[in-house]
Amino acid sequence: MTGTKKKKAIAIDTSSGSMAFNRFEMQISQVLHMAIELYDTRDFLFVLDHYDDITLFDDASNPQVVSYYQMKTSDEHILFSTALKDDWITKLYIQQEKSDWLVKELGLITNCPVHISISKVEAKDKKSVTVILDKEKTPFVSFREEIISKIKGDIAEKSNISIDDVDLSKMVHIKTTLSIERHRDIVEKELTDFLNDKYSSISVDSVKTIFSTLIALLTKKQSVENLDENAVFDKVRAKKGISRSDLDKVISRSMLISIPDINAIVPHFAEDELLNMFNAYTQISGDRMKKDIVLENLILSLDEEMQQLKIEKDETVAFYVRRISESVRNKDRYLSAIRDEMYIRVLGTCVFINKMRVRQ
Amino acid sequence: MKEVYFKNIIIADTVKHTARFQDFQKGLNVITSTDNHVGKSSLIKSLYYSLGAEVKFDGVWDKNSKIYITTIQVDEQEYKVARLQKNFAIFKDEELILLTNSVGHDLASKMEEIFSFAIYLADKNEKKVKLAPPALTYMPYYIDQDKGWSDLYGSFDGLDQFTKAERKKSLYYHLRIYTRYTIEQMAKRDELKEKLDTLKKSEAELRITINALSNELNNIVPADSVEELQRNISLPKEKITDLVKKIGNLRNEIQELESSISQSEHQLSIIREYKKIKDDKGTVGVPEHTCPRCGYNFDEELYETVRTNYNISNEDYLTQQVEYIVSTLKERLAKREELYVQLSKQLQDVEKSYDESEDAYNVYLRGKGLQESLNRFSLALKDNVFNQHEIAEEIKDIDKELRKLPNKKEIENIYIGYVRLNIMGLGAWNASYDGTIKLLQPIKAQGSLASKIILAQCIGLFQTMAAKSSTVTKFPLVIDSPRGNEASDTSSRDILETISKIDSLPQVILATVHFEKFVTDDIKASKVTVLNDKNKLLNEKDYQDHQSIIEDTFELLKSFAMTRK
Repeated sequence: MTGTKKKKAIAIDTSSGSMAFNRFEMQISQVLHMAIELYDTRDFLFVLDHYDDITLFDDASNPQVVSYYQMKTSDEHILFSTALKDDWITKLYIQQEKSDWLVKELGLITNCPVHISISKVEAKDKKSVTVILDKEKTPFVSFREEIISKIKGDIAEKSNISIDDVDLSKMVHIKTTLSIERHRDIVEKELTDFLNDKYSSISVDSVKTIFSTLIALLTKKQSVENLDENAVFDKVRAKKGISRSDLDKVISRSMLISIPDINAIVPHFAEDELLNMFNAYTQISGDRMKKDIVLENLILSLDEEMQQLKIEKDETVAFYVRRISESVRNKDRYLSAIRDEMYIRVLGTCVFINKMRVRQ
Repeated sequence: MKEVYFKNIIIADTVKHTARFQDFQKGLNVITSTDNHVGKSSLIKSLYYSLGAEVKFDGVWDKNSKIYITTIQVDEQEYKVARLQKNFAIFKDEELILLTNSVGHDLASKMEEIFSFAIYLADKNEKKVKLAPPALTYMPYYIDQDKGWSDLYGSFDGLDQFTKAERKKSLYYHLRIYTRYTIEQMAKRDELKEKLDTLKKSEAELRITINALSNELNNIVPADSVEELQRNISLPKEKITDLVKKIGNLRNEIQELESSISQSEHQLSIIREYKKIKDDKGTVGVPEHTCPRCGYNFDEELYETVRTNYNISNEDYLTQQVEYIVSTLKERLAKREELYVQLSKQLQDVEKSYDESEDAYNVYLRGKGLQESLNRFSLALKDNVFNQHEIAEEIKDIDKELRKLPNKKEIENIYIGYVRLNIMGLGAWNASYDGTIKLLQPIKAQGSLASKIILAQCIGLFQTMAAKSSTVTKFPLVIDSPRGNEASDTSSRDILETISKIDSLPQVILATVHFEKFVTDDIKASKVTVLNDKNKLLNEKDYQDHQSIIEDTFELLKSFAMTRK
């Protein structure tokens, strides 16, 4: 699909709706992409589609520093002239004027290279200067003088400030590695790699759960509309923000409720228990799909019990899980009545394996 | 040798209070009269009757209304034998030594004891040798007026329990050819011979059976495969038990697997159902977990999102897992089913081989049974042959023992010699008698010769006894009317002379009419009693003279008879 065709399609449809949808989708991927990048280095809070397309704070609860990003997408390339004409640059620039926090960076994020072509008006032959922004990150200050002047002039004109006062030091262009067609796949791959790096034994179902949960969360945050421009930060954070801590919670809970591969369970049961174990496993799988509340409570009880009673040295997993299961059954007779011993043992084994994976 | 003779007899009618006391001497005692119907025969008949024989009295003589008390002398000992109907009492001196109504047993036994003589004959009903009643002992010593002269040894009644031939064999006792011991030996020999016959019959049957069994056994399992057979039969049994157990367990496993598969498939359908619902919606559901007012994501809501997304993201994964389980279970099931089929086939084969082994084993068992039977029969045959041999030896011994007895033939020849001489002496010899004189088959003659021939044979027996059997007990000869059938005076004289010359017996009691006519130096009697009053044999005087003994004895026997009724 070409950019022209896309544009035509947009024209036929509701203005830039389709284009916007693509951008929103991609914006979500971009936030996740950035979160993964930042995860190991510092705390963060992303706010979507409120202060700007993407707003990044350095602290979730008490932010001091902020970065604003505009996200623009196109099928082929973007002309810098468009950026100027459509006030992308100006809008981004004025964020540092009105921001309540220290601005760290003002970024124009595009999925494709940005073509800058400026004619030298003073030259007789009207030679033009062409630059293609295709690096991962290009600070505006690194542009050629003619280009900087052009940008400053545009900003000064539109913002009604002196050209000399225009400071482009915080402005950057970011060429995202995501593509329109495969941004989800790419970010999923990035997340998978990231999770596998951190938790080498993480299961496929956990990765999928984490990814889909995060996408769902980000989508939700982004789609919350009509927040007052002057809404208090806490409200913005709650409705539109997603923090590092949220990411942690999603990861840990997704890993906790995972149902490990059957082959990871089998070694912890005796040969003559396998049939019953299979039955319990399939029942757990069914309960999982039903979002059975007993299953959920039981997982939490087992998790809590395992936090209280640690596995002994030289104790086998089978024996330990049996001990934990007994203890849980003794504490909650109702559970014992509605789920048999094997069910609880299999689930206990799942929880134990999941916990081991989190620890790695 | 013992000698027995009558000392006296009391015949009493306790109703009429009449009696006859008649005493006797050793030697010849003659009861005579000039007329008939004076009671000679009744007196004569009463003698052996009183000692237990049965005789046929004259029709007017009521033997049952009378008591008979006879005193006999046996060597130095005197005995009284009293008879009232079928009841007997024996006194030794004054001591009662027997009181009985059993002639065949008690009386016969007591008489044997008293006489040291008895006859044992084979009872024709009981087919065994038994003590004969005393009449057999007296048989050669009595010639009845009515029966004795036509049938020697046929004078007594009531001996039908023995055949005539058997009765005549009693003569051998008198000649010491037979004794109780010998007759017992003979009886034993007869019994042994019978046994031998049975054994021979049994031997033949055994041989047939053994032969049949041997033929049968020729086709049966050889003995050295027995252990193998037993092993063969026990192994499949164990194997069958093992297989049945395995198959049972397998069946349970299969049922459990089928149940597990069904359960897993049910769970799979639940998972797929959820997937279908989601697919139908066509969008990834993002539940409302955020506070609608402030937009805050509570942890619990975050977790709920995680759970929801787990399901959304992992139906395929869970489906795969459960499908994997189902396929694993199905694989297991298939393996179990295959194993089940294999084991069932094995079981079938083992059962078949077991059947065959069992058949072979049954054949073996049958063979073993046959072998055991054969062994048993062979042992029986061995026993049989051994027993036959033993019996044959015993019979031989008995024969040897019996051969030591006086030779029948020799004795018979002596007897024949005496009889021949006696007949000649009586002038009754006829050449046709040659070769017809036999001890057990007395000659019968006609007319006036009859008495002489009978007498000649009767005396011939006593003569033979004297010649060959000096130790045998001898009894008084009682002869009634030897001169019957219109004997001439000469004949009568010859007869009486012959009788009077009998010296081998302790006593002869003879009843005859007109004895006085023939008394000569050659014919002398020790005692002659003349009866002349017709029908007056019994009289009141004799009763009174002997009233005490008559009545005492009568009371004794009568009261005894009463108690026996």
